[in-house]
Amino acid sequence: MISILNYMTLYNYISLISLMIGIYLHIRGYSVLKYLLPFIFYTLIIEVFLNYYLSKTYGTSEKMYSYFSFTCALFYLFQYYLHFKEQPWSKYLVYAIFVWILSSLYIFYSAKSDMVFLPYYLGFGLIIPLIFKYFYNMLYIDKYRSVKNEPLFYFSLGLLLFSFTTFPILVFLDVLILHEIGRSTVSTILQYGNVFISAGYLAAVLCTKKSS
Amino acid sequence: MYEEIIIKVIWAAFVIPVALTGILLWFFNSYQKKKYEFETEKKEAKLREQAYKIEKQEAIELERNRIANEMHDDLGSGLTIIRYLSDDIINSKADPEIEKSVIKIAEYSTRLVQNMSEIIWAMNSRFDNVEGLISYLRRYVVEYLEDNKMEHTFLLDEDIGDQFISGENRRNVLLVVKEILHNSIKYSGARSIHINCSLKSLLMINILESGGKGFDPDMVCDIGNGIHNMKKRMDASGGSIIFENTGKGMHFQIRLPLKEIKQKDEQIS
Amino acid sequence: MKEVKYNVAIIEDLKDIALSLQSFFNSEDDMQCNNVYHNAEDAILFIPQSEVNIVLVDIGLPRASGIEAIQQIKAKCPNMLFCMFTVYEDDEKIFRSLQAGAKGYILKGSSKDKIVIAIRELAEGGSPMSPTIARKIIDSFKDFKLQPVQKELPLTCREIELLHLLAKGMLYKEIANQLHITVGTVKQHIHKIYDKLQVNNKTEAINKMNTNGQS
Repeated sequence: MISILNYMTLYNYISLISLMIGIYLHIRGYSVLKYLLPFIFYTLIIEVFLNYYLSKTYGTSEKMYSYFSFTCALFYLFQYYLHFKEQPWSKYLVYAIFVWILSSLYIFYSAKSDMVFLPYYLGFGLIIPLIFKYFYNMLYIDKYRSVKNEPLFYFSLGLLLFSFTTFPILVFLDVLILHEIGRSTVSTILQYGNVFISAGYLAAVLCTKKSS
Repeated sequence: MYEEIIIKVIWAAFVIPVALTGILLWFFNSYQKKKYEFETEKKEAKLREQAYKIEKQEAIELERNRIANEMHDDLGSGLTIIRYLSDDIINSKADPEIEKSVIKIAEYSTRLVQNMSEIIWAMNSRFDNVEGLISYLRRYVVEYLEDNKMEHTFLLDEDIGDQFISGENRRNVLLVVKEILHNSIKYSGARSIHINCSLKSLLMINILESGGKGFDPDMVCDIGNGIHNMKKRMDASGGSIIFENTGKGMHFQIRLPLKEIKQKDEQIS
Repeated sequence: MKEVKYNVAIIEDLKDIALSLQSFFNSEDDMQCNNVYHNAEDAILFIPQSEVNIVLVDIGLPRASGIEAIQQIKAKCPNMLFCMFTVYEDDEKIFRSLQAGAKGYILKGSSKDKIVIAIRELAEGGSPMSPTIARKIIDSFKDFKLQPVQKELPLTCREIELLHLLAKGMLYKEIANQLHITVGTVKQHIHKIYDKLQVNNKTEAINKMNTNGQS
């Protein structure tokens, strides 16, 4: 059991804390970002337990990570879809997401190696513009609303920071994939970048404290 | 190969932080601007609302005064006609019993218009100052005591100026003084009445009977209602009234703390 | 034939009051009242052509106000005496009537005898004043001294003293006792104060026109 705890990174810890606070608030009647708590729970299960199990059993968990990252991107896209549901162009967003899903499935199917992060990056290629659109709307189109009660803002900020700091991976992907060191570098950078995401979760969960 | 990597490293290590900082700064700046605009708008809306409330209040007061004045005019004109008709009947030397009733009709009508004038005076915010109250009081008191052949003096402090006093309180003080004098003349048997008004931290009106039989304020039952009413009126105004039997006659003291003018404006908002 | 010293005109919209007063005035030895009008327009039209020397003006007239009547008639007959007929002593309109040229007022609640006495007093140069009016006059002359163009003398010391005593609420009798004069003299001082008030008002209007013209 303890060995699992050793296996947990800072990112996992922060996610765990976010989950616990989120559950506590949810019991108290506060409303949290939709489906965020189940998602955090899911990521913890996968990244801690399944990862541990797979590492012990098979040595690598890259294949799982590839699929797992796909589901993460899917969840993030889903959040933005929920936010932009009432927009007139929301059906185009749905088409885009579907196109992305289909192309991801194709990529997985025709992949040669275990490290298939292209769907994930493509997903972010959709997510980043959505985040910018979200910020733009908040600043220039919508009426002023305080950022204090906006979980999606902190969530977006976390994703934004994460994608910017892990951008080098994309740049160097062709170099890094070739070497063993490169692969571990990738996961290290990802782990540090993930801290931003989990910080985003935490802030998103905390800010609902103000509005019940 | 390594050149490529170095180019990519420089590009990544430089572009990304700059881009990120740029985006965050843009966001922060626009957000603050938007927030500032919102707050200013809120403040302006609040000021507008306050100004509107004050305007409304003033309009209501104006309308109230106008209605009161119109009613008063109608009443006064009607009284004049009653007065003239009564005078005609009295001059035509009719039955003395009828004459008595007609004189009463005329008196009651006159008193009605006097009361109406008092209410208008109390309602009109033009007269919301101590100086106005005291001079109105003085005129009434001196005329009343002269008519009833009561020796009197009326002194006032130099400090009495245009400190604020509300219409309601002015009326209360007037009615209390009227009641005191009325009782003095009817029941006390005093030789003279001396009144002085002073204004230090509060308005004080002292009414001293000289040579009256006085009464025990705690023991009173038949003038009881009057005393109870006086106390109630002074309480309603935030002041008080003190009754003292000095052995040589009664001493009445009306005390009224005065609000500052800015408190009047706070009442509106 | 009676010797008519006072030829009174009445401007009052309530016919009962107007006719009752008219017959009362006519019953007096030294008075005559043949001019009764129920609105300001008729009065402005007919009074200047008549022999009237005193006008009793109701303050609440239907269309044009009593104040306008005073201004227009006074323009044609500068020596006309105007007396306001009012319910309420401290009516705003009384002060404005005094500024326009009225020299006194009578309360509507007064008996007809009192009205006749007041008219005679007015004709002999005496006027009534309430504490509120006194205070307003004190204030308005304070402002006048700040004006650039001063065409008429301000009030004499006696007059200022009188105004202050009136403003305090003293009765005519009390003031007369204090200043060692008669009540009649008090009222004559008041009459002169009203003269100066009217002039002050005209001068102020001229000053305003001048400054408007320059700006």
